[in-house]
Amino acid sequence: MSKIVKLSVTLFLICAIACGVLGFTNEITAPKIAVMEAEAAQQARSEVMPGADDISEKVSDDLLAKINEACDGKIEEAYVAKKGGEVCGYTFQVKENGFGGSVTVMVGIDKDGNVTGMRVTKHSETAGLGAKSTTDEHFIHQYEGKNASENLKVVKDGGDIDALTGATITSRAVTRAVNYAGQAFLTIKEAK
Amino acid sequence: MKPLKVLTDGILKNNPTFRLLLGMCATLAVTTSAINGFGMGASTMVVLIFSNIFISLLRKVIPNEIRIPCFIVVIATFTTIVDLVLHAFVPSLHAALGLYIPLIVVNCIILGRAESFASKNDVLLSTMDGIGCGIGFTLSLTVIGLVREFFGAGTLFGLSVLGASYEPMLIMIMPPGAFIVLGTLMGLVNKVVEGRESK
Repeated sequence: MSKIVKLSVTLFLICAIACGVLGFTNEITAPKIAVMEAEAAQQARSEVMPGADDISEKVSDDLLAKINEACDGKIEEAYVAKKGGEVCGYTFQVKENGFGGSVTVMVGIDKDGNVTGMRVTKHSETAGLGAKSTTDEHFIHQYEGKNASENLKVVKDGGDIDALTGATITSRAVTRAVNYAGQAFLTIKEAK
Repeated sequence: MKPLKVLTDGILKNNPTFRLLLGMCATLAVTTSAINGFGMGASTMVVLIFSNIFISLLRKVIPNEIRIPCFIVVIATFTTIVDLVLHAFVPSLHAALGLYIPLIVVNCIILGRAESFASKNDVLLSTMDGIGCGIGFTLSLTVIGLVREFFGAGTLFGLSVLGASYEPMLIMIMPPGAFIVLGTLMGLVNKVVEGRESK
């Protein structure tokens, strides 16, 4: 009996120390990581909407809720992009299921409903295959100029989006995310 | 046992990938290019060295019956710290290696060395073992990655070698290529090591 107690106490102590160390590390690193992620998101927003000079205004919570009714809750954030004080488009952060977990995609759509850019900002796809969605220039830029009302599909499914080699599931996820952003744009338009 | 012998053993005679067959999941999954293999190997090496040190230090404290949960707590704690610290202070490195870091916890090399080496030897030898096995693992993964990348994409470390006219053998960067290259290299390495031993 006393042996079990001794073992439990030892394991408990080791776990408690580990928890303490982890908590302490998290305490130091969490604020820095949050700042870094916010900067990265801001950079992604300006990359997908190159013409804008101010992308700091979020759409209202009511509108975001309405958008998500149409988009199955996939839109995490929607920003209004402005140029010289006038609305020139919107950026959407979309979370879709990929191959190795969720894929977060930033999509910019101008006021006429054309896609101005797409970036995969967060993912856990296979290195060398799905992970190329962040680096493959052709894959990234082929979404530009597509219209929000189009239902985009990869070539294998009868559409005209070239999938990444060996990463059809990732390519489908990104394409669906762009479609959701299009749907979100149309919802904003209707709401006006 | 001499510290240097322990170190060199880890590279060839006890090579984790080709001789001990440890860490096969990571080996097969991430070696689609040389740089990916190197990244996985290097991040595993860091965790391996430190977990060996800590487990060696704690080897008299940890009771035999609960050693496995204790090892895993130590390894997981250390991996998470590496992940958080890299993320906060070296974001560019984290962007490149971030993908592999969570995989390290489940890499059986680390638990394997903790169980069979670090829990029985002093800190100096355990550190050497960590460095040796780490180098061995990194080299193996880089070589597998090099071969797969060369045939599968016509590049080495991302630089084009075979030119645009080369039609890549896609199977090499797909999962079957991993098995083919691993098996072939394993045969070669075993032949070399056994040849040296029989002399």
